[in-house]
Amino acid sequence: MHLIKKMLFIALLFNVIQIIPACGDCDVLPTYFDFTTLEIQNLDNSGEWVMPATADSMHPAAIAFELTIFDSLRYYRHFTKTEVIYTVGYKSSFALSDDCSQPLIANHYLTAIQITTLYDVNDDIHAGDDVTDFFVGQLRSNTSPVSGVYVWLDAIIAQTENKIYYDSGVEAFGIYLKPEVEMPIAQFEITLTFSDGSILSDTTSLIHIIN
Amino acid sequence: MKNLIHTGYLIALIFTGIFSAGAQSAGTRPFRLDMQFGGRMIHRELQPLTENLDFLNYLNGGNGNSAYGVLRLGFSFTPNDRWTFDAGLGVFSDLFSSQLNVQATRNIKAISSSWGWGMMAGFEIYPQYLDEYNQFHIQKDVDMIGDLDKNYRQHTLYDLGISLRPFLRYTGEKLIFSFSTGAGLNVFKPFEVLIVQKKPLGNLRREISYETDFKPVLTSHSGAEFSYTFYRGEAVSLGILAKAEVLFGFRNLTYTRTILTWTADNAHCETIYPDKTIYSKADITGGVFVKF
Repeated sequence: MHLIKKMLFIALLFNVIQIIPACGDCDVLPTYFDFTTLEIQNLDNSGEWVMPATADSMHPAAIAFELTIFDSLRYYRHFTKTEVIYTVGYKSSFALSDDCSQPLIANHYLTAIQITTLYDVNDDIHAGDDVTDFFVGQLRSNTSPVSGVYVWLDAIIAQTENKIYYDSGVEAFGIYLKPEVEMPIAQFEITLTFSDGSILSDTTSLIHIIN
Repeated sequence: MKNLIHTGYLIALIFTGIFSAGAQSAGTRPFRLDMQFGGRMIHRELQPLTENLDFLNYLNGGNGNSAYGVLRLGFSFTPNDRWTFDAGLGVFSDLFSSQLNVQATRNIKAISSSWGWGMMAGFEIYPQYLDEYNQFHIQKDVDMIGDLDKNYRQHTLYDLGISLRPFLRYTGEKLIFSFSTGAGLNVFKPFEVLIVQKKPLGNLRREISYETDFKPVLTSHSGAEFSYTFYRGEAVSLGILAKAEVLFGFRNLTYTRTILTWTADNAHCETIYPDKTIYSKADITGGVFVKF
């Protein structure tokens, strides 16, 4: 009887230890996708926080847009299949749906951003001019008011190479014009070039400058 | 910082443990535990607002004066007639042990049956608060949103110091009184803070980072201690004690300021030396002790 008690105790201990590693496996294979769509959203950067703008008007020193590129199929959160209990007793104890992030890798990455103004910006910058160098950027994941200063667009381009996107294959960043617009309207054409030679291009909405 | 304090306290305890055998054979009461409560007043002359931030203008209260209630726990060990070792911890109202002092005292010569003199060497670390130093930018940079961080800005500024002081002591039947004065070196523990600004109705962003320097300065240290034993039992003695300590020096807080505008390129770096002016700290505490 004493021996049986000891054996039961050891069996209990073994099963308790089985419970402890409660994390599920996270060996999720990456999914590959293409950037096929470019969306441009007006940003309101007149206050402390940058936020999506609902109107096509901006302050002359606060011209800002958000560029979002993604696969038109859109990738959302993927969950692994629930592990099936197949052994006698239980194999281990872990969450039935693993909270694993789905890695997504783009088949190509950004190699260039070109921004052309469709209207005069001021006396020095005229319609048709390449104004790429007058813009700075900020990643969407870094838009807290205390996040610091902007980065050059080259840095935004560089970080897309070999990037693994988790859960959603969406690259989003803001672009901010440095000089003030001295004209009543502004509009820009934005062209993104990718490593496979593909190009995505779109035009911002016609912006009315608030005086 | 917390580790440093705990390590210092541990060293003091180990140090006292080394001498414990000798103390027991001496047949006296070599250990003293005390608990004191009192106040700490820090004064630093307010400096006029200039182009550069002077952190010490924002000592708790922002008017050049700070006052704190302090609870101190002390441990003292006297292994023989020549040496005494002290260790003390102090807490503010948050009861977080952020202050430490350790001290070694050597009696050098008896002048008479009651009077004697000696030397004491000590190490001390104590905190104080810098509050809302971002007000400098809010007041000065009126064309920008002075500080995008809306949290209450408070930084705990630690002052570290060592001192060497000759002392004069009167030892009576029940009363002990000592007075000491000497010199030391003090330094504010370096820290970093970041201010991020943005132009209203504009894209312009600016980042100002401050990194303070480790620059020890010569300081004056003085102290007085009074204790009175009102009960002597078989095993323990009880008494009251009071302490006063004053630190004095001409101090500033130098720093390197880095300003980034728009992007991290072309950082504008500058070392700033705010004017040195009188800085003083006075501690007055009183409490009870038990000797065993």
